[in-house]
Amino acid sequence: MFFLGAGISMLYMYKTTGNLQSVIDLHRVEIIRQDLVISAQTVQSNLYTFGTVFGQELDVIVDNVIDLGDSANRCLSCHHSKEITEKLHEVNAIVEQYENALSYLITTSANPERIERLRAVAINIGGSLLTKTQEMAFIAGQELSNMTINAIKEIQHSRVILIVTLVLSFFIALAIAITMTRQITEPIYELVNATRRIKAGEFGYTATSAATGEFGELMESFNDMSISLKESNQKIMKNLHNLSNLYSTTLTFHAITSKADIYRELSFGVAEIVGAEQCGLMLPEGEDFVHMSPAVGLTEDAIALLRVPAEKILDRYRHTKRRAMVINNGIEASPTAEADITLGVKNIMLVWVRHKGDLIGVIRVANKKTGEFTEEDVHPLAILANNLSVALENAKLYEDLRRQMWELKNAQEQLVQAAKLVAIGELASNVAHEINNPLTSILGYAELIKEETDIESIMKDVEIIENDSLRARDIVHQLLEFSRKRSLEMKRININGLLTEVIGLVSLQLKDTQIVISEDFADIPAIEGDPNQLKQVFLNIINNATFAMQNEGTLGIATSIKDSTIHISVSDTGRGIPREVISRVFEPFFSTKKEKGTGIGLSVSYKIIQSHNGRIEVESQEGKGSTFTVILPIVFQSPA
Amino acid sequence: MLYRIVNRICGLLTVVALLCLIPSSAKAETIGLILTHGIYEYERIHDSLVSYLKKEGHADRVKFLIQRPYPDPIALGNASRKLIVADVDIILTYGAAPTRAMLRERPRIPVLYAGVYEPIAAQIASKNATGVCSKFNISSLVRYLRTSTTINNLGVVYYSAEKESTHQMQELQDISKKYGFEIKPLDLKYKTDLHTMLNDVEADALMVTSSPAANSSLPTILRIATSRKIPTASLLTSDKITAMITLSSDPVRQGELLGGMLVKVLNGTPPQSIKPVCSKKIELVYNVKDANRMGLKISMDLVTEATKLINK
Amino acid sequence: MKKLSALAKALAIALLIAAAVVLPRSSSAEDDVFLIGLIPEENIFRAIQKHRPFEAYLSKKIGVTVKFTILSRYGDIVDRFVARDMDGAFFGIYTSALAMEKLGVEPVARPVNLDGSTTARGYLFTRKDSGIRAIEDMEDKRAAFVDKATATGYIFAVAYLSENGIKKPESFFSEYYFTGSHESTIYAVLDGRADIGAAKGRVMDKLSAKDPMLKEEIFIIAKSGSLPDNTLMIRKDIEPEMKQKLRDALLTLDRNPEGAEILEKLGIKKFVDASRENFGAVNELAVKAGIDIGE
Repeated sequence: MFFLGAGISMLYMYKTTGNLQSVIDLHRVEIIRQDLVISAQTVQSNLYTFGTVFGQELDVIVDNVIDLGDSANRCLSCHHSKEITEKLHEVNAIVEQYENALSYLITTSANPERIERLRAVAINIGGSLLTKTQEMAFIAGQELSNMTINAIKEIQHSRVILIVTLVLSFFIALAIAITMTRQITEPIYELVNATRRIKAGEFGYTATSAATGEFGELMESFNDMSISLKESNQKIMKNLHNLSNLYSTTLTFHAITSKADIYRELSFGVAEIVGAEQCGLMLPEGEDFVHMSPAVGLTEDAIALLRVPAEKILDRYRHTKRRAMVINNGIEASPTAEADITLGVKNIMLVWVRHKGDLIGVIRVANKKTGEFTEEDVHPLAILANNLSVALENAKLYEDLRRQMWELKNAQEQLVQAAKLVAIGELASNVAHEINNPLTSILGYAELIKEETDIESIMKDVEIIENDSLRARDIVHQLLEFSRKRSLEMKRININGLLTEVIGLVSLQLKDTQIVISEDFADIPAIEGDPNQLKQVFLNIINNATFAMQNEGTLGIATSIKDSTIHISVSDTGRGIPREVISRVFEPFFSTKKEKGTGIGLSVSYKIIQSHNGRIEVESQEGKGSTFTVILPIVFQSPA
Repeated sequence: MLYRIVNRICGLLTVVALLCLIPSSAKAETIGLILTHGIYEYERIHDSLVSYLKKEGHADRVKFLIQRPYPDPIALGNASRKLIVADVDIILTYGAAPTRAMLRERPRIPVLYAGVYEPIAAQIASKNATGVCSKFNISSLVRYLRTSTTINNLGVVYYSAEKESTHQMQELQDISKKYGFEIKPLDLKYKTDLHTMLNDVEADALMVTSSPAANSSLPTILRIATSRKIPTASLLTSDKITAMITLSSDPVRQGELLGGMLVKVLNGTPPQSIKPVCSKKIELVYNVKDANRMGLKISMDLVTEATKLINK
Repeated sequence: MKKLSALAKALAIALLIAAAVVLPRSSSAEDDVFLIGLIPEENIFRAIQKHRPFEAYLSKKIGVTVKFTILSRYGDIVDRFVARDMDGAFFGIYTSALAMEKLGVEPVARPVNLDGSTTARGYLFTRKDSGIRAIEDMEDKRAAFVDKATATGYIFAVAYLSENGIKKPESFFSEYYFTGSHESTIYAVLDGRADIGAAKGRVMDKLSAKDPMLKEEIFIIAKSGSLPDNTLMIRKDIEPEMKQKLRDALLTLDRNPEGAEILEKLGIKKFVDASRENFGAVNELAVKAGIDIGE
């Protein structure tokens, strides 16, 4: 033992001295490097100073460069870290280039310009050589300090090891004594150990010992106990597993509203819990009980087979006193026996699903994968059945609700359709009225012309006819415009600029009036929109405003940002809109301008702004004026 | 009747327009010049020509009417037609593609060219044309490239629509067979592919032919190649960004030779009696800085032979 | 330059006097060194290193420390020989002749190349596509030579021109210049910076081995005769005994394993005797070229 300790200590000592050796090696590298730097610096200074003819200094250069090469090669021959070796290779490559450049410089004659060039390149290479060695020094320095620290550490270790060896040998002697005692008490220890492991949950652990006699017997009965403990534990674990499956299945039930989903969840849940080939749900449908789809292990054709008169099922239900029905032998007793035989059923379990005492469904489970159905299979399914009845009820309620909603919606749509018809009727009569007015006038004047003789009066009448015809044409145009679905040509536009343009148009008309325009433009971002259509909107609103003011007042045009929208408000100090008609201003052919308006402008505007995902709001006070506010989103998202 | 009047007015207007183009000084002759846009080498030829004329005291005898088209066939053709319509006295063209474009218009005006690598190969032959050829040995460029890096695959940027560029490509194909390396052709036919081509090409060196189309993109080409650490060689000089090796016919010398020819033509010698000459002076620029940056061994042969070294 | 060398001389004299005064005249370490110059043909540091075992071997054989140094550039060779107070040097073809004339050195031995040759040839060449094939095609063309002091890279070419009736090459060619090295001359012709060039054949063969295009592009118009290359010359005032020792050491190098190893490292076969007579062809060439070596 002591020898062993001594041996280990020696080994450590050896390793430590080895490390010290590499520290010394590294120091040597540093010395070599310094040589290298000195040689390089000497050559460099010679390069700067020599003339065109070489004297003694050539030999100095040659000797130094050869030293340089030697130093670089010497460094390479010893063992270094990867980093240093890499740097050394780089230094070596540069030394080679340096030699090459110097060779050319020393031996080339011809023009001084060429010699100067060669000298410059050589000096450059020499410079990078010095830089490289500097880098190397840095890395070597770091490595040196690391190694020194390691060496010192290892020296300390070897001391510790000596002490540890002493202590250890004492303990090893002790250990030998203990082992010998152990051999006598081993079976007891083994038993104690086995008990501990079982306690720790390792049921079924059997103690192994070659003990005979009393100890042997004890061991055997202990092992029996352990095995039966293991079995009962496995049972518990299986129940726990089933319970957790059950829990996850029932949990999903309550989140499901579609019946098909319930059938699927149930089938798969049951398959998981019981481990059977065919699992599914049968529900009453008229006079029969029918198997639902989807189900586990049953094709659509198989499902079609499972149709049984309700009476047959109810008979079994009553017969089993509402307890689940388990048939492991004699499948003929099953109410679904006919189909079962076709479907190759060997054993089957039917669990009743009840709601308020009535049978509302049957969980059908057939062909258990691991043998026969037991009471243990029934229990979780009974719980599942309870939950299922609630889920089915919920689904039914939900379906009812949906149907009612749908009916409501239908009724609503019909109402809207009716309202639309009314509106169209109104529209038609309005249009008729609008066109009828000029037509009446045209007809009247045409009649007049027939009777008139003097050309001047005729011309006057023709003029009126022309004007009224134009008016009729305008109405038709606007009507067409209104009905036409124009696609938007979206561009990035600066609303302030657009407004300025519109104001420019309007101000021409306002030249002879007392109307003052007040602008208040905020710094707003460019938005997406159809510039032509938006121009039309603003022109419409501003025209209405100026019309409302007749000949004097203030036309206020302002822009602002609110949340992610831009607000463009046009206010006037005109007569205002009567409260009873304010809700109708955007209706087609509604106009307060009497014979001067067609009643289409605002409704077209409304439509345009709507297609920009925006809206128009109106505020008005009779006698004081109105404010129309166009609200446009900054970011346009084309409606889906 | 009306048609005839309009026609006459148009004719009159054209004459007036042309009168405006022709300089007021009656003595000075108008020299039409095609100076393709964005090509440093051509600018240098022209600068040298101008300083030659100044030095020799002929500067006042000429006025330049300069067209700066992009190096594509349509732009070059348009510029050529403009100069012919302007009825200049002598036309100067730099580069093979611009010269070919001009001669295709069959001008009756004398044409003097420079910067044409090999007039015969570029199919430049016309009774009215003569000029300075810039032939040098591409094999030398390959040789110098080989002293600085090992070549297994040489990427060559050329433009298949230009005769001269295709000719240089062919020369390189022949050279590659002798040295046993592969040529990876990069045709500039679709300029939009330039970046992809350069980023995808697997080559250990890249050479750019003297095509004007290639050289107007020279900075881009060199930038991508250098970032991929691919050494470059170019047949035309460039401005700020230079290839690792540039071998070209000295543009200053070309300008002087062209100047000499121009003076002869100004003095009344018909161009057909002047033989085309080749500038024998070459410019070999070695970009040591880039070679260093790409971690290449410095070629001392190149340092020795170079006419210019880029060191800083 | 002249001023500087005068200054250097003055300084050297001053130093000598100082040394004479301060130090007792004895064989100092520097005195015992036998300094031999090498003509640079490749990476000079590599060359010096290759010669290290050779130094040791020769030192052992002749009893004096032998050191090699570099002769540097063509134009400087003779100056440097004097300035560094060398005892001997391996000179090139023309520099050998020049050194014999100017420094009075004597030939000792010269190496035999691996191919068995002890001589070199000069080539006069052009690019194949230049169309130049004979003297009459060369008029007004541009010529590049290596250096005035090279037999293969200049004197041979001038002699060839002179033989063919061109007495004044400087006015025969439109341009006429020296590149400073055999390689540079070859590059100049290859690049088209010169139409005609002259250089040492061995250098071209070496380049051509690395560059398969070169043979395709170069056309050789003329070759010189064989000229004695790379001869070891030593000062006249070296004692005959020492000279003999040196010659013996060199000539027997291939006969012992240590020597064979050195030869292998130097890339040569062996050393053979060299004499003044070998340089007859060089002197002839100089005469033909109209060059007075003594000048």
